[in-house]
Amino acid sequence: MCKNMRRLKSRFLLAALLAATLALGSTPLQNPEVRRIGKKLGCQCGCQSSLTECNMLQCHFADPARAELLRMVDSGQSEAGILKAFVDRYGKAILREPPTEGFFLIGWVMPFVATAAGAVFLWWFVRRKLRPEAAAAPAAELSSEAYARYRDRIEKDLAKLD
Amino acid sequence: MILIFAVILTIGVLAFTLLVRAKDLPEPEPVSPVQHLDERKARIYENLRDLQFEYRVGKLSDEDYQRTKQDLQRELAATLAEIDAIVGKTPKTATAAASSPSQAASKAEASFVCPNCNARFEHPLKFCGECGKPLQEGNQ
Amino acid sequence: MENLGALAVLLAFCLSIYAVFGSAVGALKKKPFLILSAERAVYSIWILLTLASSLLVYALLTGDMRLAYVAGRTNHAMPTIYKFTAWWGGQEGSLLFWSWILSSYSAVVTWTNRRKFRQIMPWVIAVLMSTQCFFLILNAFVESPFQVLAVGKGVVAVQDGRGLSPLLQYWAMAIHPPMLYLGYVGFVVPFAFAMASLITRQPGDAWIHTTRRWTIITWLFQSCGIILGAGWAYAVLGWGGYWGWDPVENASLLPWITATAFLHSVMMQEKKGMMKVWNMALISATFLLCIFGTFLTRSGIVSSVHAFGVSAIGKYFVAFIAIGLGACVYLILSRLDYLKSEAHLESIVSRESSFLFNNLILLASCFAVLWGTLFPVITEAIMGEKVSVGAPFFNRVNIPIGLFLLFLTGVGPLIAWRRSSLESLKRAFLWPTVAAVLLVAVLIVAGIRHFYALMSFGLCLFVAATIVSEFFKGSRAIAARNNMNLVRAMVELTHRNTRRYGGYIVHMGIVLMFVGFTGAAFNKDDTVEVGMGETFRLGKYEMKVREIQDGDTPNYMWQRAIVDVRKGGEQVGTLRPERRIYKASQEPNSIVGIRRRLNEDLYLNFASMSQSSSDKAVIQAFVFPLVSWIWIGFGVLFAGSIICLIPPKVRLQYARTEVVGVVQKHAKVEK
Repeated sequence: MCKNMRRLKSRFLLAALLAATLALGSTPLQNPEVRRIGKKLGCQCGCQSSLTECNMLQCHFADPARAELLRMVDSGQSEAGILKAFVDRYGKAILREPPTEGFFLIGWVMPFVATAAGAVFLWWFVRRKLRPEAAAAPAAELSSEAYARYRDRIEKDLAKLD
Repeated sequence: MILIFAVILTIGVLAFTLLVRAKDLPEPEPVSPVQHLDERKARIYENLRDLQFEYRVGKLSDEDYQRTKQDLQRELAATLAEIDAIVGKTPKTATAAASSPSQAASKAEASFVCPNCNARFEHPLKFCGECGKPLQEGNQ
Repeated sequence: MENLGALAVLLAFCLSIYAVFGSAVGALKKKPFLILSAERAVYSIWILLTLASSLLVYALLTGDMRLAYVAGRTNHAMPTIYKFTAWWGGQEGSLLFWSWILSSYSAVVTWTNRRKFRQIMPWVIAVLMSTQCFFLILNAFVESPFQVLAVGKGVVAVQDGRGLSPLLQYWAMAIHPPMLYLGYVGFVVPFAFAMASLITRQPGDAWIHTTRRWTIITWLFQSCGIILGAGWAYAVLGWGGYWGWDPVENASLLPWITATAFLHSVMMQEKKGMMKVWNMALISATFLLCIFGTFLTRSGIVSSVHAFGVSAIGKYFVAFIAIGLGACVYLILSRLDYLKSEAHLESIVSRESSFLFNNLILLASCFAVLWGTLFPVITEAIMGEKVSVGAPFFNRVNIPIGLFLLFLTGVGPLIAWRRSSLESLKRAFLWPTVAAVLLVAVLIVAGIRHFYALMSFGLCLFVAATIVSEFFKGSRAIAARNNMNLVRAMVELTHRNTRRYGGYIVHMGIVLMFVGFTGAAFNKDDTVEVGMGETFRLGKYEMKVREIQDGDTPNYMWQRAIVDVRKGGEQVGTLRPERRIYKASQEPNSIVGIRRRLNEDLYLNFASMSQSSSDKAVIQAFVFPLVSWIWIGFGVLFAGSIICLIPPKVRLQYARTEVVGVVQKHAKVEK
C-alpha cells in the first residue's frame, strides 16, 4: 500500500513534469511517410540530426515541425511540395544536403573535381618518376668493375639472410 | 599558507630549470659519419630478404625477381662504395677484408687529418674514424 | 587553492616560452647548458601542469562550487567517476587536459631521448613547446579553469552545480575524449621530429624510425577514440546511428585519415627513400588537422547557429594554424633539395604506385569530409545564405570513395615492390575475384538489389580472400622449409614481419567493419504508441510491453518500458529501454534497449510518453543488421595494431661498417 503510494507519487511527479514538457512529442513519427521525409529535413535545435532523429524531449523545433509535417502528409501533399514549403519557411538550411543548383552545385562537384585533379597530378608524377633520367639516386651509377668488386661481399651477406 | 607554498613552488621550479651543473650534461654522443648510409644499407638488405621470401611464396615471376634483385644489388654496391669513400679506408669487417677495394685509400686525398694518429679523411668528422679521439677541439 | 592552480599555469606558460627560445638559441649557438636547461623546463612544465590538473580534479571531486568550472560541470549527486571525468567534460578543463597530455608526452620524449639525437632534440623540444605555449596561452589567459564565481567583490559559492551533460554520463563517453586527445596530441611528436630533422637537415630517416611506434600507438588511440564515440552515439543518442557526420565527428576523422595515409606512404620512404616531401606534407597536415579538429570542437564555428559568431578562442586557433601552416610550407619549400627522392619508379604496376593511389583516395575522402564540413561556412560567406551539409551528402560522396579504398586494400598487398608482371597478378587475383563474383551472384539470387551493398559485400570477400591467401602462402612456405605445422608457421610468419602481417590483420578488421557499415542498407524501423500489455511487430520480432515503470534517484528520474521480445513464437529476451530526466540540468537522456546479435541488433528507444493517453509509451524500434561486426572489426583492428608494435623476431645478419669508436652505438640496425 505504502509502496504503491510512493510509486503513485513519483509517477505523479513525472507526469506533471512531462505534461509540462510534452506538447506534441514524437507521436507523428508513427507515420512512415513522416519518418521518411523527416530524414531529409534537419532539426534546427542545434542537435545536428534530422527531424526524424532528433531525440530531445520537448524539442522546441522538432516537435512542432513534426506535427506540421504530419498535417501536410495527411492532407496529401507531395514530397516535393512539403520540402518546398519547409524551405520557404525556414530557408535552405533546413534541407540536410545542399540544393543541386547554381552555386551550391560546387558543393557537390568539388570533391570529385579535387579527386580528378589529384589523379591527374598523380599521373603526371608517376610519368615523371618513371623516366630513368629522373632517377636521382645518389651514386646510383656505379661502374661495372666497381660493382663487381662489391659483388662477392654482397653475395656472402645474402647467403646469411634468413 | 597558500602564499608560502606559491613562493616555494616558484623558486623550486625556477631553480630546477635554471641551475644546470656541468656534470648534468649528457655525454656527447659520438656521431657516425656514415650512419644514414648504414641505415640505407640495412634497408636494402631488408628489401632483398623480403624479395627472396616473396619469390619463394610465389608472388613474383622469375623475371621480376631477377630484375629486382639486380637493381637492389646495384643499389647496395653503390651504398657500400659510398660508405667506403666516406670512411676512407678498408672496412674492417671480416667478410669485406678479402675483397677490399684498393682504390679506397687513394680516394681519401684528404683535407682532414687526425692529430692523434695521422689518419686522413675526406670529410670533416667529429671523431676520428681510426682511433676514435675527438677531431675538433673546442667543440665541447 | 585556485590561485595556486592559476599560478602553476602561468609559470608553465613562462617556462614554455623559455624552453622554445632556450632550445632554439642553444642549438644555434651550440650552448649545451642552455639546451639542458630547456629540457629541464619541459619537466618543470609537466610538474606544474600536473599540479594544476590535480588541483582542478580535487576541486571537482570535493565539489568546490566557488569555481565556475566546477559549478558548471558537476553537481553533488553525480557519481564520483563522472565528477572525475568532468575534468575533460567542459571547455576550460578539456583544454587544460590537452595541455597536460602534451606536457606528459613532451616529458616522455625528452627523457627517453636525453642522450640520443643531440642534433635534433633541441628543435624537437622547440616545436613541442611552441604548441605547448599556444595551449598554455589559452589555459592561462583565455579559458582559465580556475575562474571563481564572484558577486561584487566577494567570491561566492553556489548551492549545487548544473551537472555534467547527461549525454556524457556514460562509460564510453568517460574514456572517449581522453582517447581522442591522446591521439590528437600524440601526432605532435612525430611532427616535431619531422620538423626538427627538416630544420637541421639531418641525413637519413632517423625521425621515421624513432617515431614509428609512436605513430602507430597514436593512430590506435585515435581509432579507439573514434570508435568509442561511435559506440556511444549508438547506445546513447537513441536514433540508432553510430556516425552522424557531425562537424565534431568529422573533425576527429580528418587527422585520422591523413595519419592513415602517412602510415602507408612512409613505407615508401623507409623502403626506397622516396616521397620525402609528401611525407613531410602529410605529417604536417595531420598535425594541423589535429589542431583544426580541436578548433572545430572548441570554438563552435561550424555547429553553432551563428556560423560566424566565433568565440574568443577561435581567433587564437586561426592564428596558430596560420602560423603553423606558414612555417611548415616555408620549411618544406626551403629544403626541397634535402628532401630529394633517392629512387625512381621502376614500373607502373608496382606496390609503389598502389601506395600512391591509396594516398590519393585517402586524401580525396579527407578533402570531401573537410569540404562538406566547411561548405556551410563558405556559402554563408559568399552567398550570404546558409545551407546545411548533413549526413546524406557525406554518405553519397564518401560511399564510392570508401568502396574504392576497400578495393585498393585488397589489391595493394598482392603487388610486389618495384615491379609485378601481369601474369603473376593474374595468378594472385584469380581466386579472390572468382569468390567475390560468386558471392555477388548468390546475393542477387537471394534478392538483394542494393547496388552499393552488393559491391561492398563482394569487395569485402575479395579483400578477405587476398589477406587469407597471403597468410596461407607465406606460412606454407615457412612450414615446408622448417617442418612446422601450418598454425605454428603462421605465428612464425607473423612474428618475422610483425609490421606487415599485423597490418594485414588491421586490414581484416577494416573489412569486418565495412561488413557492419553495409548492414545499414537494410535497416528497418518503426515508431509505435503502445500501452501495457499491447504488442507490436517489426521484421521477425514480436514485442509485447509487459510493464511501464518509473522511479527516482538523487541524480535523475526515469521511466522504463519492459518489453518482452518474441521471435517465431518463442521468447528470446526482454529489453528495457529507459528515459531519464536529470534533475540538475533538466535534460533528458535515453538508455536504449539493445539485443545484440551477430546477424542483427534489435534496438528499442523509449521516445516519450504518449500525448494522447497518459499510460501509453511512444517506442521507436529499429532492426540494424550486421552492426555488431563494426565492433568486432574494431577488435580485430586493435589486435592487428598491437601486433604491429611487437618487435619482429628476425634481425638482419650482415657485415657492418665498423668505425672505431662508434661501433657500439651505430652498428645495431633495427629493421
